[in-house]
Amino acid sequence: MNWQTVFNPFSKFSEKQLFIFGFLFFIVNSLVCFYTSTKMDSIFHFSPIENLTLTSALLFVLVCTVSAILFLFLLGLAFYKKTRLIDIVNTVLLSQAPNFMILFCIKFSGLDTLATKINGTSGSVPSLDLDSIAIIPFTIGVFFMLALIIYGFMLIYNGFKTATNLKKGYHIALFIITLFLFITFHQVYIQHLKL
Amino acid sequence: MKLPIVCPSCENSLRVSQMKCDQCETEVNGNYELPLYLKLNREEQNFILEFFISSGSIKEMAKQAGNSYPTMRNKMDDLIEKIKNLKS
Repeated sequence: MNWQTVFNPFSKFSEKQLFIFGFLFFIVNSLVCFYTSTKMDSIFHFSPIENLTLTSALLFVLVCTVSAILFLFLLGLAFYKKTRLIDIVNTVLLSQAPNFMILFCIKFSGLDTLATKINGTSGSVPSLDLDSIAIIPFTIGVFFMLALIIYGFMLIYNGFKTATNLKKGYHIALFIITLFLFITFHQVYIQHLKL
Repeated sequence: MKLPIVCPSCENSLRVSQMKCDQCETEVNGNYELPLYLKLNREEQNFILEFFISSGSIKEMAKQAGNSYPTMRNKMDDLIEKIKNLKS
Protein backbone atom coordinates (compact mmCIF):
# COMPACT_ATOMS: atom_id res chain seq x y z
CA MET A 1 0.00 0.00 0.00
CA ASN A 2 1.47 3.37 -0.98
CA TRP A 3 0.26 6.97 -0.71
CA GLN A 4 -1.59 6.67 -4.01
CA THR A 5 -3.77 3.86 -2.69
CA VAL A 6 -4.77 5.98 0.29
CA PHE A 7 -5.05 9.47 -1.19
CA ASN A 8 -5.92 8.74 -4.81
CA PRO A 9 -7.47 5.27 -5.07
CA PHE A 10 -9.19 6.46 -8.27
CA SER A 11 -5.95 6.20 -10.23
CA LYS A 12 -5.37 2.59 -9.29
CA PHE A 13 -8.55 0.62 -8.66
CA SER A 14 -11.17 -0.37 -11.22
CA GLU A 15 -14.56 1.35 -11.21
CA LYS A 16 -16.21 -1.87 -10.01
CA GLN A 17 -13.95 -2.17 -6.94
CA LEU A 18 -14.39 1.52 -6.12
CA PHE A 19 -18.16 1.32 -6.47
CA ILE A 20 -18.44 -1.72 -4.17
CA PHE A 21 -16.38 0.07 -1.47
CA GLY A 22 -18.25 3.32 -1.97
CA PHE A 23 -21.67 1.68 -1.78
CA LEU A 24 -20.65 -0.21 1.36
CA PHE A 25 -19.68 3.06 3.05
CA PHE A 26 -22.90 4.66 1.80
CA ILE A 27 -24.87 2.03 3.77
CA VAL A 28 -22.58 2.35 6.80
CA ASN A 29 -22.93 6.15 6.78
CA SER A 30 -26.73 5.93 6.61
CA LEU A 31 -26.79 3.52 9.57
CA VAL A 32 -24.41 5.69 11.61
CA CYS A 33 -26.52 8.79 10.80
CA PHE A 34 -29.54 6.94 12.18
CA TYR A 35 -27.62 5.71 15.25
CA THR A 36 -26.24 9.17 16.08
CA SER A 37 -29.53 10.98 15.20
CA THR A 38 -27.77 13.16 12.67
CA LYS A 39 -29.09 14.20 9.30
CA MET A 40 -26.78 14.72 6.37
CA ASP A 41 -27.80 18.05 4.87
CA SER A 42 -25.05 18.25 2.26
CA ILE A 43 -21.85 16.43 1.45
CA PHE A 44 -19.36 17.09 4.29
CA HIS A 45 -22.14 18.63 6.40
CA PHE A 46 -24.30 17.24 9.19
CA SER A 47 -26.73 18.56 11.77
CA PRO A 48 -28.48 16.94 14.73
CA ILE A 49 -32.14 16.03 14.40
CA GLU A 50 -34.65 14.47 16.76
CA ASN A 51 -36.84 11.44 15.95
CA LEU A 52 -34.90 10.44 12.87
CA THR A 53 -36.14 7.20 11.33
CA LEU A 54 -33.86 4.80 9.49
CA THR A 55 -35.69 5.51 6.22
CA SER A 56 -35.27 9.28 6.68
CA ALA A 57 -31.57 8.88 7.52
CA LEU A 58 -31.11 6.82 4.37
CA LEU A 59 -33.09 9.30 2.27
CA PHE A 60 -31.07 12.28 3.53
CA VAL A 61 -27.80 10.55 2.64
CA LEU A 62 -29.26 9.46 -0.72
CA VAL A 63 -30.50 12.96 -1.67
CA CYS A 64 -27.17 14.57 -0.71
CA THR A 65 -25.17 11.95 -2.60
CA VAL A 66 -27.31 12.01 -5.75
CA SER A 67 -27.39 15.81 -5.97
CA ALA A 68 -23.61 15.99 -5.47
CA ILE A 69 -23.18 13.41 -8.24
CA LEU A 70 -25.42 15.40 -10.60
CA PHE A 71 -23.68 18.67 -9.79
CA LEU A 72 -20.17 17.25 -10.23
CA PHE A 73 -21.12 15.32 -13.36
CA LEU A 74 -22.44 18.46 -15.07
CA LEU A 75 -19.39 20.42 -13.96
CA GLY A 76 -17.15 17.59 -15.16
CA LEU A 77 -18.84 17.55 -18.57
CA ALA A 78 -18.33 21.30 -18.87
CA PHE A 79 -14.59 20.82 -18.27
CA TYR A 80 -14.03 17.58 -20.13
CA LYS A 81 -16.53 15.98 -22.49
CA LYS A 82 -15.25 12.42 -21.90
CA THR A 83 -16.20 12.50 -18.19
CA ARG A 84 -17.95 9.25 -17.21
CA LEU A 85 -20.81 9.13 -14.74
CA ILE A 86 -19.39 6.08 -12.93
CA ASP A 87 -16.14 7.94 -12.14
CA ILE A 88 -18.11 10.81 -10.59
CA VAL A 89 -20.36 8.37 -8.67
CA ASN A 90 -17.26 6.70 -7.22
CA THR A 91 -15.68 10.08 -6.41
CA VAL A 92 -18.69 11.20 -4.39
CA LEU A 93 -19.25 7.83 -2.69
CA LEU A 94 -15.63 7.41 -1.63
CA SER A 95 -15.15 11.03 -0.56
CA GLN A 96 -18.04 10.50 1.87
CA ALA A 97 -16.59 7.25 3.21
CA PRO A 98 -14.84 8.82 6.25
CA ASN A 99 -18.13 10.43 7.36
CA PHE A 100 -19.13 7.65 9.75
CA MET A 101 -15.88 8.15 11.67
CA ILE A 102 -16.54 11.91 11.81
CA LEU A 103 -19.99 11.21 13.27
CA PHE A 104 -18.51 8.89 15.88
CA CYS A 105 -15.93 11.59 16.72
CA ILE A 106 -18.68 14.16 17.24
CA LYS A 107 -20.66 11.72 19.37
CA PHE A 108 -17.90 10.36 21.59
CA SER A 109 -15.36 13.19 21.89
CA GLY A 110 -17.68 15.54 23.77
CA LEU A 111 -18.23 17.82 20.78
CA ASP A 112 -21.86 16.80 20.70
CA THR A 113 -22.38 17.80 24.35
CA LEU A 114 -20.56 21.09 23.79
CA ALA A 115 -22.75 21.95 20.79
CA THR A 116 -25.91 21.17 22.77
CA LYS A 117 -24.69 23.41 25.65
CA ILE A 118 -23.89 26.29 23.30
CA ASN A 119 -27.27 25.96 21.58
CA GLY A 120 -28.99 25.97 24.99
CA THR A 121 -27.40 29.23 26.18
CA SER A 122 -29.06 31.34 23.45
CA GLY A 123 -26.23 33.75 22.85
CA SER A 124 -24.69 34.09 26.34
CA VAL A 125 -21.35 32.48 27.23
CA PRO A 126 -21.94 28.86 28.27
CA SER A 127 -20.42 27.45 31.45
CA LEU A 128 -18.34 24.58 30.21
CA ASP A 129 -17.42 21.99 32.80
CA LEU A 130 -14.49 20.56 30.93
CA ASP A 131 -11.92 19.11 33.31
CA SER A 132 -8.40 18.18 32.24
CA ILE A 133 -9.36 14.54 31.63
CA ALA A 134 -12.33 15.40 29.44
CA ILE A 135 -10.28 17.84 27.39
CA ILE A 136 -7.89 15.11 26.15
CA PRO A 137 -10.43 12.99 24.19
CA PHE A 138 -12.08 16.25 23.10
CA THR A 139 -8.85 17.61 21.59
CA ILE A 140 -7.91 14.28 20.03
CA GLY A 141 -11.44 13.98 18.63
CA VAL A 142 -11.34 17.46 17.10
CA PHE A 143 -7.96 16.90 15.47
CA PHE A 144 -8.95 13.45 14.20
CA MET A 145 -12.17 14.89 12.82
CA LEU A 146 -10.33 17.72 11.06
CA ALA A 147 -7.91 15.21 9.54
CA LEU A 148 -10.86 13.14 8.27
CA ILE A 149 -12.58 16.19 6.76
CA ILE A 150 -9.36 17.20 4.98
CA TYR A 151 -8.97 13.60 3.79
CA GLY A 152 -12.54 13.64 2.43
CA PHE A 153 -11.91 16.87 0.51
CA MET A 154 -8.65 15.43 -0.78
CA LEU A 155 -10.53 12.38 -2.07
CA ILE A 156 -13.19 14.45 -3.83
CA TYR A 157 -10.50 16.63 -5.44
CA ASN A 158 -8.35 13.70 -6.55
CA GLY A 159 -11.37 11.74 -7.79
CA PHE A 160 -12.70 14.69 -9.79
CA LYS A 161 -9.22 15.41 -11.11
CA THR A 162 -8.82 11.84 -12.33
CA ALA A 163 -12.34 11.69 -13.79
CA THR A 164 -12.03 14.95 -15.72
CA ASN A 165 -8.27 15.16 -16.44
CA LEU A 166 -8.30 18.43 -14.48
CA LYS A 167 -5.14 20.46 -15.05
CA LYS A 168 -5.89 24.07 -15.85
CA GLY A 169 -5.57 26.47 -12.93
CA TYR A 170 -8.87 28.26 -13.54
CA HIS A 171 -10.72 24.91 -13.77
CA ILE A 172 -9.30 23.92 -10.37
CA ALA A 173 -10.30 27.29 -8.88
CA LEU A 174 -13.78 27.03 -10.40
CA PHE A 175 -14.17 23.50 -9.03
CA ILE A 176 -13.25 24.57 -5.49
CA ILE A 177 -15.47 27.68 -5.52
CA THR A 178 -18.52 25.97 -7.03
CA LEU A 179 -18.13 22.97 -4.69
CA PHE A 180 -18.30 25.23 -1.62
CA LEU A 181 -21.24 27.13 -3.13
CA PHE A 182 -23.01 23.84 -3.82
CA ILE A 183 -22.43 22.61 -0.25
CA THR A 184 -23.86 25.85 1.16
CA PHE A 185 -26.80 25.92 -1.25
CA HIS A 186 -27.67 22.29 -0.55
CA GLN A 187 -27.85 22.87 3.22
CA VAL A 188 -30.55 25.47 2.63
CA TYR A 189 -32.32 23.58 -0.14
CA ILE A 190 -32.64 20.31 1.79
CA GLN A 191 -34.52 22.07 4.64
CA HIS A 192 -37.47 22.46 2.27
CA LEU A 193 -37.67 18.76 1.52
CA LYS A 194 -40.04 16.70 3.64
CA LEU A 195 -38.12 13.46 4.10
CA MET B 1 21.56 2.11 -26.61
CA LYS B 2 19.12 4.98 -26.06
CA LEU B 3 18.64 7.37 -29.00
CA PRO B 4 19.13 10.95 -27.81
CA ILE B 5 16.37 13.24 -29.07
CA VAL B 6 17.29 16.52 -27.34
CA CYS B 7 20.59 18.36 -27.28
CA PRO B 8 22.40 17.70 -23.95
CA SER B 9 23.77 21.23 -24.07
CA CYS B 10 20.84 23.51 -24.98
CA GLU B 11 17.92 20.99 -24.86
CA ASN B 12 16.82 21.86 -28.39
CA SER B 13 15.51 19.03 -30.64
CA LEU B 14 18.25 17.06 -32.37
CA ARG B 15 18.24 16.29 -36.11
CA VAL B 16 19.75 13.38 -38.03
CA SER B 17 22.96 14.35 -39.82
CA GLN B 18 24.45 10.95 -40.66
CA MET B 19 23.27 7.39 -41.36
CA LYS B 20 25.38 4.37 -42.10
CA CYS B 21 24.79 0.98 -43.70
CA ASP B 22 26.17 -1.75 -41.44
CA GLN B 23 26.82 -4.11 -44.36
CA CYS B 24 28.64 -2.04 -46.99
CA GLU B 25 29.55 0.89 -44.75
CA THR B 26 27.91 3.43 -47.08
CA GLU B 27 27.38 6.70 -45.25
CA VAL B 28 24.59 9.20 -45.96
CA ASN B 29 25.02 12.75 -44.75
CA GLY B 30 22.34 15.41 -44.60
CA ASN B 31 20.07 17.31 -42.24
CA TYR B 32 16.96 15.26 -41.59
CA GLU B 33 14.22 15.85 -39.08
CA LEU B 34 13.50 13.03 -36.62
CA PRO B 35 10.22 11.18 -37.32
CA LEU B 36 7.39 12.28 -35.04
CA TYR B 37 7.38 8.99 -33.10
CA LEU B 38 11.06 9.40 -32.24
CA LYS B 39 10.47 12.91 -30.91
CA LEU B 40 8.53 11.39 -28.04
CA ASN B 41 10.33 10.20 -24.95
CA ARG B 42 10.88 6.51 -24.25
CA GLU B 43 7.90 6.21 -21.91
CA GLU B 44 5.57 7.78 -24.48
CA GLN B 45 6.90 5.55 -27.25
CA ASN B 46 6.28 2.49 -25.07
CA PHE B 47 2.77 3.74 -24.33
CA ILE B 48 1.95 3.91 -28.05
CA LEU B 49 3.49 0.47 -28.61
CA GLU B 50 1.45 -1.03 -25.74
CA PHE B 51 -1.69 0.60 -27.12
CA PHE B 52 -1.02 -0.99 -30.52
CA ILE B 53 -0.27 -4.43 -29.02
CA SER B 54 -3.46 -4.37 -26.94
CA SER B 55 -5.50 -3.75 -30.14
CA GLY B 56 -6.23 -0.17 -29.18
CA SER B 57 -8.02 -1.04 -25.94
CA ILE B 58 -7.32 1.47 -23.16
CA LYS B 59 -9.26 -0.77 -20.78
CA GLU B 60 -6.96 -3.70 -21.50
CA MET B 61 -3.88 -1.49 -21.15
CA ALA B 62 -5.13 -0.18 -17.81
CA LYS B 63 -5.66 -3.72 -16.57
CA GLN B 64 -2.16 -4.77 -17.58
CA ALA B 65 -0.53 -1.67 -16.08
CA GLY B 66 -2.51 -1.96 -12.82
CA ASN B 67 -4.06 1.47 -13.31
CA SER B 68 -7.63 2.64 -13.55
CA TYR B 69 -9.32 3.35 -16.87
CA PRO B 70 -9.55 7.17 -16.42
CA THR B 71 -5.85 7.36 -15.50
CA MET B 72 -4.90 5.56 -18.71
CA ARG B 73 -7.37 7.62 -20.78
CA ASN B 74 -5.92 10.84 -19.32
CA LYS B 75 -2.40 9.70 -20.26
CA MET B 76 -3.65 9.01 -23.76
CA ASP B 77 -5.31 12.43 -24.03
CA ASP B 78 -2.14 14.17 -22.83
CA LEU B 79 -0.12 12.27 -25.41
CA ILE B 80 -2.59 13.16 -28.19
CA GLU B 81 -2.28 16.80 -27.15
CA LYS B 82 1.53 16.58 -27.24
CA ILE B 83 1.53 14.94 -30.68
CA LYS B 84 -0.86 17.59 -32.03
CA ASN B 85 1.51 20.29 -30.76
CA LEU B 86 4.51 18.54 -32.32
CA LYS B 87 2.68 18.24 -35.63
CA SER B 88 1.70 21.90 -35.78
